[in-house]
Amino acid sequence: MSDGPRIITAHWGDERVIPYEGYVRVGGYEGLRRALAMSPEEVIAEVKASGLRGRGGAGFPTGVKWSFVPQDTGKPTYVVCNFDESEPGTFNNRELVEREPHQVLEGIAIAAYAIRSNLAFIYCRGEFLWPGSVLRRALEEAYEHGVLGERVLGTDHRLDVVLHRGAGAYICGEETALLSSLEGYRGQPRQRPPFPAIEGLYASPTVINNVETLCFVPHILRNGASWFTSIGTERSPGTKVFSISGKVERPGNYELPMGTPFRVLLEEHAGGVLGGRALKAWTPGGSSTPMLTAEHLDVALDFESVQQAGSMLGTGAVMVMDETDCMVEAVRRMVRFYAHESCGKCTPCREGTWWVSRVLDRIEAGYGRPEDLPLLEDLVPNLLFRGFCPLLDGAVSPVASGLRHFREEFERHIEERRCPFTGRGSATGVAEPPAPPAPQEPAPGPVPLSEVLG
Amino acid sequence: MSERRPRVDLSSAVGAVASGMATILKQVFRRDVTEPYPHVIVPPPPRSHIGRHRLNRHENGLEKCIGCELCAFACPADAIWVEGAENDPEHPVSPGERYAKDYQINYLRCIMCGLCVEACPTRALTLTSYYELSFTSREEAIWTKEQLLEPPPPLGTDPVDREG
Amino acid sequence: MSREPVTLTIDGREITVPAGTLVIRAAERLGIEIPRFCDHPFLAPAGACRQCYVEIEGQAKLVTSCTTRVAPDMAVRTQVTSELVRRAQAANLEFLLLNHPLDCPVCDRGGECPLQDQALAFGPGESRYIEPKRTYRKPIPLSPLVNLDRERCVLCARCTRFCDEISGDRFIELYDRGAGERVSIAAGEDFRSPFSGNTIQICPVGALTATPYRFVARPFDLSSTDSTCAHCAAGCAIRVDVRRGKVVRVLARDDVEVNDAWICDKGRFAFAAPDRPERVTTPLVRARGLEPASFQEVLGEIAARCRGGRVGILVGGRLADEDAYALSKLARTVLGTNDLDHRRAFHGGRAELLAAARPMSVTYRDVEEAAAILVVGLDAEQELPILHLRIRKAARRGARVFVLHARRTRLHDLGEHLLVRPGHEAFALERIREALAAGGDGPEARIAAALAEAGERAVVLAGPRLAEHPLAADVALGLAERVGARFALCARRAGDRGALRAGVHPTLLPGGRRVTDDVERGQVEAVWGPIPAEPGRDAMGILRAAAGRELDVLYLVGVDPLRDLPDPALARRALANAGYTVIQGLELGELEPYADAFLPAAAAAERDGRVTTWEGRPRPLRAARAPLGLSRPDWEIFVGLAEALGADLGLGSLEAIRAEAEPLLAPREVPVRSSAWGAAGPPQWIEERVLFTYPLLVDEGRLLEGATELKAALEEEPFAEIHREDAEALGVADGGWVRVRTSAGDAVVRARVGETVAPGAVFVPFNQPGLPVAELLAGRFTVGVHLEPAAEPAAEEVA
Repeated sequence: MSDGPRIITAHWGDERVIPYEGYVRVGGYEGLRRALAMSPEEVIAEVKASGLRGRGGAGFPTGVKWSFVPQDTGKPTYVVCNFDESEPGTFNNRELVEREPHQVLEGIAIAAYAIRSNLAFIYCRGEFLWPGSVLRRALEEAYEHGVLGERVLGTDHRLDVVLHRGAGAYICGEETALLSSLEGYRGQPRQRPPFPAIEGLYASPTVINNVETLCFVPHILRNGASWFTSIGTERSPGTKVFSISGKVERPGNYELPMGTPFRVLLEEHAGGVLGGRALKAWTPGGSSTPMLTAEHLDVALDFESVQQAGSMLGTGAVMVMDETDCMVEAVRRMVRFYAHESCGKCTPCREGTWWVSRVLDRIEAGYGRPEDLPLLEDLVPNLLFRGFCPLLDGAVSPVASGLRHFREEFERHIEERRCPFTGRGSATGVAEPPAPPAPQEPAPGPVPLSEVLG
Repeated sequence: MSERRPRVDLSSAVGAVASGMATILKQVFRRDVTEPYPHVIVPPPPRSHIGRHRLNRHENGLEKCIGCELCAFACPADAIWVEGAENDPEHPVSPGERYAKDYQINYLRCIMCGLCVEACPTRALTLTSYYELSFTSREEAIWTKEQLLEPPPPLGTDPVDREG
Repeated sequence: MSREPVTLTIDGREITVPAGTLVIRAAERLGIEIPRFCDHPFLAPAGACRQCYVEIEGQAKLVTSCTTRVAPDMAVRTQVTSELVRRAQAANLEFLLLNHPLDCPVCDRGGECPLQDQALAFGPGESRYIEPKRTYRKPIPLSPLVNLDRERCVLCARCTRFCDEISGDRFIELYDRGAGERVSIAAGEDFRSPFSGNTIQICPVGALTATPYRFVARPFDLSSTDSTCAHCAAGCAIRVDVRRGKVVRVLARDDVEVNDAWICDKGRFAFAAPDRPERVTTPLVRARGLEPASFQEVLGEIAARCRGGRVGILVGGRLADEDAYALSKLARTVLGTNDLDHRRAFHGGRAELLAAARPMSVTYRDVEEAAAILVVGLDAEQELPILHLRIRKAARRGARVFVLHARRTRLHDLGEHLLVRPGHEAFALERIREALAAGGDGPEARIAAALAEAGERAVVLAGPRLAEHPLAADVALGLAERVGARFALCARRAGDRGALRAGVHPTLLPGGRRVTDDVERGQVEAVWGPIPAEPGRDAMGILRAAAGRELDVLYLVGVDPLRDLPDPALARRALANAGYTVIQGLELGELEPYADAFLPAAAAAERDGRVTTWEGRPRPLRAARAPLGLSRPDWEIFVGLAEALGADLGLGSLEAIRAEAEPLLAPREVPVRSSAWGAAGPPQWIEERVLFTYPLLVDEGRLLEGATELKAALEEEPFAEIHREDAEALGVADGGWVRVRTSAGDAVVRARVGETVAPGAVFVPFNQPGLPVAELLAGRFTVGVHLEPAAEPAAEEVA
């Protein structure tokens, strides 16, 4: 690994920092202590000055988000920590929680103090059983040691943190859907405005931050905003934990300064493409960000540079595909994920992802028609930015970028009536035609009596 | 206003009279086309759809008519009455949920325009070549579903017509 | 929300609308129709169907006009001027139609379907989708009334949002996600909402269909008439659809002043009664048996009996305003009697006088905009369902709702209930009045504080339960006046308020003028001529008089005293002993053996006229079809009877009636009287257990006959609701059988034990199938009761 500055992963590998005592020994809760000595406004100003941007995908400045919270509504304010990490390819939140849970709690506590909130929630992805248990243990410790509860670190500030486990839906990582789910409703996004900072959880002002974002906060309070801005690029200060996976020698999480070129991440840290094969495609921020190619090896990994290259930094989840990978299959799988995870609320997402996924099924299975590619190319603009929430845009980007960079692979599938990589397809008689959609008989759950009785 | 008389061209007038006389003479010697109906019944050309309607069935015996009333909607003479009802899934009359509980065509109103046939989404309603439609009462002019489901009898067998 | 005007342009045309208006509404004002499915003006914005895209200058993405609020100088381009919007809308329609079956010819919505219309207007001609469509089992009955076809559903969530936001009956919900998302209902549950039919009407496709209308007609079969629902005093705007002389469907019409866009299931589905074979449509006269005769004959016969005889007239809740006025005049000026009454319970007092004299003291809008609402003695959901929805709307807008009633009502999720024993409402009201000054922290004090704080924006709605003591409503009125609240005495039946205003009442003449007051009577005599000065008998008094052979003619207009009034034994005696019994109505039913003459009346859907809402608002009735047979509107029969008696009422047309009635019915001041207990004295504190009853929305009422599916969906088996404390003391288990014994009779019913009635009170619904509760009553709708556990009755004993 490189010797670059590591901030939030500095103690990874040291299991002693998991319990409270170990965390305190390495300077833990020092940031919270400093924050409590300041006024909430000063804390917000400090975070604002640090230029910290949200690591959950959108890159919105954290301090600015906090400053939107009104204090004169007569309603309580809430902090919600988004730990519903479900973007394919993303796995840094899980490791951050597992390896140093108190770091997250400290970030939550500072955020809560900054917006004068007495109640915070951690929305934990349903599948995260172990990380959830680690958090629960950490919460108990924090209450035992007076970090949480009636008097936070002996001050008059009160804070309770509730751990809420999701039920396993990608959409609940979207902040308004997360709030609906947290309130006990269906996990479906809500209309914005009003934005959560004004009317969020229980129609009260709410700040929602990603785990990684909150992990940076204690360090900013401890070391000062100017320290933070000295790392990374001017407009994307600090470091970022990149999750690299796929066809690389050493997949994993690597904390690097913002602006590190992709080549450095791939070659120096992840050990290059698996088996020394040639790089074909990579996603800079999970499957919902448009794919880039080998041409983009030297793109700097920060919000602006990646955007300039035609994609988005997203969650910094890099998935690497090499020359042996079928891009039609890759796109098909990504779209299928989104079709499965679409919440169903809005028409283009519900029907569009379903349609695209069926067409891709056909092409991969060797049943593509020449008119399918123009059809897909026409569907992209009909779907992009037409959904209720960004899920649909994420679903469209692999199709759009796949067609943009690898159209000839799609054409070969259709011409040869099989997948050139696996050899399977209607031409060789190996593949079955894609199964027609199974009749959607009622799943377990609310079924009318009349149906049970027939 | 001055009165203008058409100028008469004698040669063209003679020609016109001659061609008129020729037409008349041709007709005088042509064979008589009047059919001695009902004593002799000339079958209509094959595939002609000039006569009463028929409701068709699928091969499995189910009625093609789904009672959608589009024929009634299309009818410019308001000659068709349809009443839909729900199929008993155990004993369906037609495929799907809906069938025609009642279907009537009033031949006092029908103008044989065929728009109903155009409108039918299942080709349940077609016209036949059975043209012997005469009635002695209003009730008789209203054909019921049962009658319409039957194939038309051979021409010339309608008892009403035989009296002529 | 501020309502300052905002000016924007849509398709280059400028318009000024209040701030906060949605772009789609602003476009409507300009006459630009943006296609939409999930948007509904009475539901909160959802943004789900994505059909209503518009382009807003300066914004990179298209936005949905149903979720975007106007902003100053906004420049909006709709499909009219923007090719991009047109393409987006066409693409979205293609998505909606991907999985939509092409079964329009058999779909009940075909021909009046927003999806069909918009696909035709804005959609692509052909789909590029070649895969098999999604299929579901169908239809799925959500209730005996509502069927769900999931294949047709476009998941706009209008139905689920209606249930969440408007009725609060959250029986249906979207389930699963993505392409598998579908409307579902919990296992074992029926969609038992009295407002379920509205979901069918607002469904933008044929996914929800009504069983009674299933495959019955196509839109082009129907001739439609705008009218008013005459099932209760809510006065909902409806559209009556007739196919070849038969009512086949009733729909709600939009009217923001009355019913918004909703009607209850009774109004929607109970339309078959006038077409039943039991309906009698010719005049009958008793000779050897009841035999058909002409109107002239029968009226002549009745006139002969009335001439010089003593006549008592009982009236049901069905009469239109003009009928009531004609009858009031007929009784007073031709038959020479004040013995007429339309009520089945007796308010008396100043509250009733006000209701007769001053309409519109509270309107739906007042309820909607109220800050505090006190509902006393009224089960709004069951008795005035649309008022119930307005109260819910007000609660959602922040109004505090309190219910003072003997039984928990369906407002329990939004309002605070104070359960008091029937007959004790006045005591609770007195305690609230005391708490106005004294304060405290009980429920009475909370109500007092909320009413006082709301002041002019407080509304007190008094219902039929208060009629159990002559002056209980006056106490409620006194409380309202004390805090400056608006007050209404809510009539339940469609004809009640109109009949009260017209003076179908033993002591009140039109406009609430008292028979006993010479000045007030004089005002009416100036128009009508002489009127008897002595007060008449009320309904029970008329029955007692008939039973005592004091009446020569008993004239029953749209009322069945055996089933509608709380003393069937007395009614039987009255019918047996009356000199001559005239029945006027739609059918004879159980009255047949008593009838000496029958006059066939036209049903509400067969005639023009007006009905008055509980507010006092006149609403138009319009004939959707001709009356069956020889039946005639009631007012024509009254005029005819007067003629047979040699009198001319001068009421030859509806216009003539209205013209004569208008000055008499103009709002007028009524003398202020002290609201101290009147001659009846203060209500008695009741120690014994009390049975009380009132009709639920769907019962065995006459106008509900033939509404099979409605009854299957909403009618309940007879039951006795008992408070847990009483049940424990008596050893009665929930779901067990209990014998209910009163001075009039006894019955065995199933017990429902809980905290839904006041301790000491037992609720048994009026007129449920299998249990004519009237047989247990002795002149009032409350009666002392003795309870004991009982064995399960043999089948015939229940019936």
